[in-house]
Amino acid sequence: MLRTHLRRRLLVIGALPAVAGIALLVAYPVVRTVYLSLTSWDGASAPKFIGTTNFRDITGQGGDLWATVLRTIRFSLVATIGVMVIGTLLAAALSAGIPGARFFRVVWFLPMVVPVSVSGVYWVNAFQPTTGLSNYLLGKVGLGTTHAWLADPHAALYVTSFVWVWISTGFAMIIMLGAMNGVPVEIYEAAEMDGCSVLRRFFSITLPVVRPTLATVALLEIIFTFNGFTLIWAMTQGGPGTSTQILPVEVYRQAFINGNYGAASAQAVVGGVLLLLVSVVMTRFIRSSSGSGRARAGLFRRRANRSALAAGQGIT
Amino acid sequence: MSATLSTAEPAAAAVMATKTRPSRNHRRSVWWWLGFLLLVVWTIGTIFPVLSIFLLSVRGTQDVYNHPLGFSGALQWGNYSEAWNGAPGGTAFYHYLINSVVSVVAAMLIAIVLGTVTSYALVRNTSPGKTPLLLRVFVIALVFPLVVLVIPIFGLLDQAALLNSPAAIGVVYGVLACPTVVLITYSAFLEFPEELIDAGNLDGLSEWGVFLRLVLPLNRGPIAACLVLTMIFVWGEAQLGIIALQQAQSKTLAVGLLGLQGQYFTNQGVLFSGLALATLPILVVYLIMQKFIVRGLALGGALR
Repeated sequence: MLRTHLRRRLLVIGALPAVAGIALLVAYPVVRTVYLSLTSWDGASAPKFIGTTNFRDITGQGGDLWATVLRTIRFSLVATIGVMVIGTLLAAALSAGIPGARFFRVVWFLPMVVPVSVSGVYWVNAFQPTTGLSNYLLGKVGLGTTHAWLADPHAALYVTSFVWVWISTGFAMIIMLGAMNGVPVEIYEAAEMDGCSVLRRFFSITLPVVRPTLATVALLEIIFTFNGFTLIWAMTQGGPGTSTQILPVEVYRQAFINGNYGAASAQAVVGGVLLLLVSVVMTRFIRSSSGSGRARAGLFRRRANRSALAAGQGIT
Repeated sequence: MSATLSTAEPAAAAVMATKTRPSRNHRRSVWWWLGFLLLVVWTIGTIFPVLSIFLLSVRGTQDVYNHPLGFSGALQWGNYSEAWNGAPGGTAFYHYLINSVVSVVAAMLIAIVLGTVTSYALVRNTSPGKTPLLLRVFVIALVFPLVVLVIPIFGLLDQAALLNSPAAIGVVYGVLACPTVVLITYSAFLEFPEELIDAGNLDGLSEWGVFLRLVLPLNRGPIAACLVLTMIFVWGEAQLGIIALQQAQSKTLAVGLLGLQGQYFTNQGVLFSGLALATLPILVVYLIMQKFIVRGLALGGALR
């Protein structure tokens, strides 16, 4: 009796500070942003309630919300697909135990450790016309040295996506490696004895088993890229023109440069809702595919699931 | 991209095969070589930019332009002192460095203390096999993008007169990193043998005594992982930093670097020594602690 009572008290006291912190710095801001999106606010005087005017303004004529959203989605998709494809490949190689796996693992995670602003500034220099690394290399193979990658409105978004892939692939690789290592060797051995080809083993065993993890990592990458402010700001500040102006950059501009906090909040709300929808859909997918993955591979133990990230697990 | 997809995955499978049957696989297929090529390219592509930052940091402007990888040119160590003390009219780099250290230490303290205490409380209060409601709340907190939070957090810091305070922004980062720490340590504590806790209780230790003397010391690995992940996150974070740290001397490295581009354009080498100074501390920590990161991420880490 006393013991359970004590434990309850422990729970309340122990969890209280963290809960209070999350309430103050996550829950309150979310509610506040929704409220601010319905106001006109210059950041100094009191916010003035104006209903849905902000939303009508940003979606209507002259507002560029949809262009920004589309741009964000394009940045996010290109970057996420790149990260997933390369990350899966690298993880598969590591889990196959290629020689020097430890070394490769450490090296491939390196870009994730370098501060994003450093990577941003480095790659801006690398993509400079004439003097940058990219054109230096292109020049060596005779493809011309003068292309101004980041000044080209058609290329800039892809260049920044590429740098995102460079940064984040190591993260995806590490998590997928955890899931792949959770697949017992016996299954591969049994499949091999049954005469399964290498390709067959990868597609029929590895991929189904790690599919929930793949989906989780993809979801995380989408969330990360929707937050890709630092990289874009370090590289292009949204330019040239608005060609790399993704949502968080636009929100920052509206609020902290133009002093238009209401409209900025409205944009943030749209972004948040969009991300929430994606999360819900993908979480459903993770849940269903973790079921089918288990059925197809014949096993899916807690251990393997654990490395599918508590994040993904918790949402499901 | 789809072309990469179709060639990449068979290649991965081919690479996987080499370990499982090394003796029989004498004839290596095209896929194997393609996969191998990608690994080599990716390895070069990840090492050289990082290496280049350090090589270019000791070069003069002409050498930076002529040899963008940094392998040739005269050594120019003066770049570092110039970056350290700041260009005329610019901000000295040591301000950024001190601010980064202050915010990282504050964040690590807050995240670790709040996070571990919370997850221990959760572990001790839920029946096995159940996911506590609070854990779900923390996961949901992770999903909200920073872009939804920045404006109100800016308002809060403003009201509390804590703008331009690296320590305050460190505390904010610490709280934001809390859910990640809870997810990692919750998984770790869940596997902590209950018999040990009971034994501790029998020896007269209170719940918190068990936590401090048994659970924490025996979970050094996951806790180290949380510390490193928090450090990487805070060291590189600039989205909140750029709005909260507006005075030049209050900026952290990540924020200060965003304004560095135009500042030193007469001497490219100094720009790179700035980048090197910002990278070196976190790089050293990473290389020492890298094995914990892998384990920590496997336990459920997700950086914001």
